[in-house]
Amino acid sequence: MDTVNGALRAELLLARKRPGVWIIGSAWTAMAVCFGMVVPYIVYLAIKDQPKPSQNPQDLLEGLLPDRFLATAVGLYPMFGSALMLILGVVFAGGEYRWGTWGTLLVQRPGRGAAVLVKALAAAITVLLVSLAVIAVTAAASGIIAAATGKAAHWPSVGDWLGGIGAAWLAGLAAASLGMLLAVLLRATGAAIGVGLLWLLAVESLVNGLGGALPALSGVRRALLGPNVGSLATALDPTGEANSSIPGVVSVSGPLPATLVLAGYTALFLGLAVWLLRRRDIS
Amino acid sequence: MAEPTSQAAESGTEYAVHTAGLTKEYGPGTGVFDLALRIPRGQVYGFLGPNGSGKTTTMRMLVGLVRPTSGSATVLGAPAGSREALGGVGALIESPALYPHLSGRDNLRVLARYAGVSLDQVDRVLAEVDMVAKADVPFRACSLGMRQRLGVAAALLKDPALLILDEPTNGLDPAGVAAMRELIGGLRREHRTVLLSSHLLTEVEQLCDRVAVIRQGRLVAEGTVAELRAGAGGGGLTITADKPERAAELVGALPEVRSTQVTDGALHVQVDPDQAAAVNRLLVEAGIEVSELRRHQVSLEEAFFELVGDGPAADRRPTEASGRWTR
Repeated sequence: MDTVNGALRAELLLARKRPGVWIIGSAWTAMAVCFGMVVPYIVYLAIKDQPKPSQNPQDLLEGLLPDRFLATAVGLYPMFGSALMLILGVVFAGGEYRWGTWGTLLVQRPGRGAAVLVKALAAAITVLLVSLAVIAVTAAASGIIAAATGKAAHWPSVGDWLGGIGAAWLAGLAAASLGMLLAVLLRATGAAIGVGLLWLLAVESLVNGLGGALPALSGVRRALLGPNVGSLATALDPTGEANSSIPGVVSVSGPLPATLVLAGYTALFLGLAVWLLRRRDIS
Repeated sequence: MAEPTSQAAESGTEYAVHTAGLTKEYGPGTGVFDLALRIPRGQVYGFLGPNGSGKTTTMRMLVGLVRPTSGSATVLGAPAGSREALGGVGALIESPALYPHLSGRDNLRVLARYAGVSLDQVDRVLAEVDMVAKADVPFRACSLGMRQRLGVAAALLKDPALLILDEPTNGLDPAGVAAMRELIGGLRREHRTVLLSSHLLTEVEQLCDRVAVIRQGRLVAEGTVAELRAGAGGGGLTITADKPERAAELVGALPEVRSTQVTDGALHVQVDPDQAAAVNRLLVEAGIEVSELRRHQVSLEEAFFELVGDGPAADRRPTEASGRWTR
C-alpha cells in the first residue's frame, strides 16, 4: 500500500509539472464555457429579435440557465470533452514511450500492472479536477447569463450536482482510459492521439448519425462511448430530452445502463493496457 | 576464486547474478544465446563486447525489462525482474532516460517515490554524483555529462547491493570519468557488486575483478583480467639485433616461445616477458649483438580485440567460460 501511495504521489508530481496536462485541462475548460455557454448566448442575442429565427431563442436560452447547465456541460463531452480527455490519457501513458522512461520507472520495482494502474489513478484524479473546473466555470457562466437576462436562477439539487460531476468524470475517464490503452498498444503518443480522435470524432459520429436512420445500427450505437455519455447528459436534463442545441448528444439508454457501459469500458481499456504492458518487452 | 559447491551456490545466492542457458532470440543469429554468467557478490564485474553483441539485452533481462526466450537468471537470489530482486538493484542501461520537463531533483523524487525510498536519498545521491548545484536544471537542458550523472544518481537511489552500469562514463569529461572511477571503487570497498559495461577498456582493466566478453550474443571468455591477458598470449619481447633472421631461428627453438616474427628489422617474440633474460643470454652466447630488448605486456584491449576481432586471432576461443583458451 505504501508503494502504491508513493507511486501515486510520484505520478501526481509528474502530472502537476507536465505542461501538456495543464494545457489540455485549461483548453477543455475554456472550450466548455465557450461552446457550452458563450457561443450559444451570442447566438441567442443575435436571433432573439429576428422575426423568423432558425431556432427558438427561448429554447436556446433555457439550455443555458442554471437548472439545465449540468446537462449542457456533460452534453459537451461526446463531441469535445472526450477527445481532449483521450489526449490526456495518451499523455499519461504515452510519454513513457516517447522519452523511453518505462525502463527507468519499472526498474524501481512498482510492477508493470501496478505502474499502469497508478497512472490510471493519477489520470482519474486529474480528470476529476478538470471535470470540477468545467462544471464550476459553466455554472458561473450560467449564473451570469441568468442575471444578464433577468431569469430566475434555479440551481440543481446537491444530488444533481454530484450526478453531473460524476457523469463528467466518468465520461472523461472512459476516454482517458481509451487514450492510455492506445498509447500502450501503439507505443507512441502521436499515433495514439490520431487513432483515438479518428475513432471518437469520425467512426462514432458516423455510426451515431446513421444509427438514427438505420435501425440495424441502433444496437451498435448503444455500445459506443459518445451515445452513452449523451444518455447521462440527457438524464441530468430536467426536461428529460436530449439537448438538441449541442452537437452529438443522443440518448440511447437510461443513466444506469450508460454508467455501467462507461465503467465497463474503463475497466476493459485499463485491463487491456495492463495485459499488453505485462507481455511485451520494454526496449 | 574458489568455485562454490554448496546448495546456496547452485541456487544462485552465492552470486549476485547467476544465469544458466539464458537466451533471447530476436531472429536467426541475433540476440543472446545460452549465456552462463556467475557474478560473485562484492566484485566489480566487467561485461565487454562490441556494439550489438548482446550486452544491453542481457542487462535488460537481468532487470526484467526483456523476457528471455529460454534459460534462467537469478539476481540477488531471486528471479530476475521480480520485486524481490529489483529491491536491491540499481541500473543505468543505455542512455539515461528521465522526464525532460522535470529538473534532475524532481526526476529523482519521482523515482524515489516509485522505489519507496526516503526523499533524503535524493540529496545523498545528488551529492554523490556532484550534481547538487545543478539539480534544479530541467533534464532537457542538461548536457550529456550531466544526464549521465543523473542516470547514475537514479541507479544509486535504492542504495543497491547490485549496480548495473551500461557505459556510465559516456559523455563524461576526464574529471567525470575519474569521479566515476572513484565512485565504483568506493562501491567495491563497500562490498557491493557492480556489473559494468564499458568501451573504455583501460577503466575496466583498472576497476574490474573479473571480466566476461561476449560476441554475437555468446560468451567467448570469462575470467580475471590477468587470465584474459594470459589467454591472449600474455605478452612478448621486441628485440633489435644485428642478425634478426638468425635470432628468430634460435629463439623460436625455445619451448616457451609461442611464435616469432621479423618485421622492419625487429624480432617480435610471443613469450612470457619474464623470459627476457634467458632469451638475451641465448642470443649473446650465439654471438648475436642485441642492441635493444623490450618487454611487452598484453593489455586488456589487445586481449579484447583478439577475442572479438576479425583478424588472425579471431579463431582462438576459450573452451569454456573459464579464462582458458585454445588455438
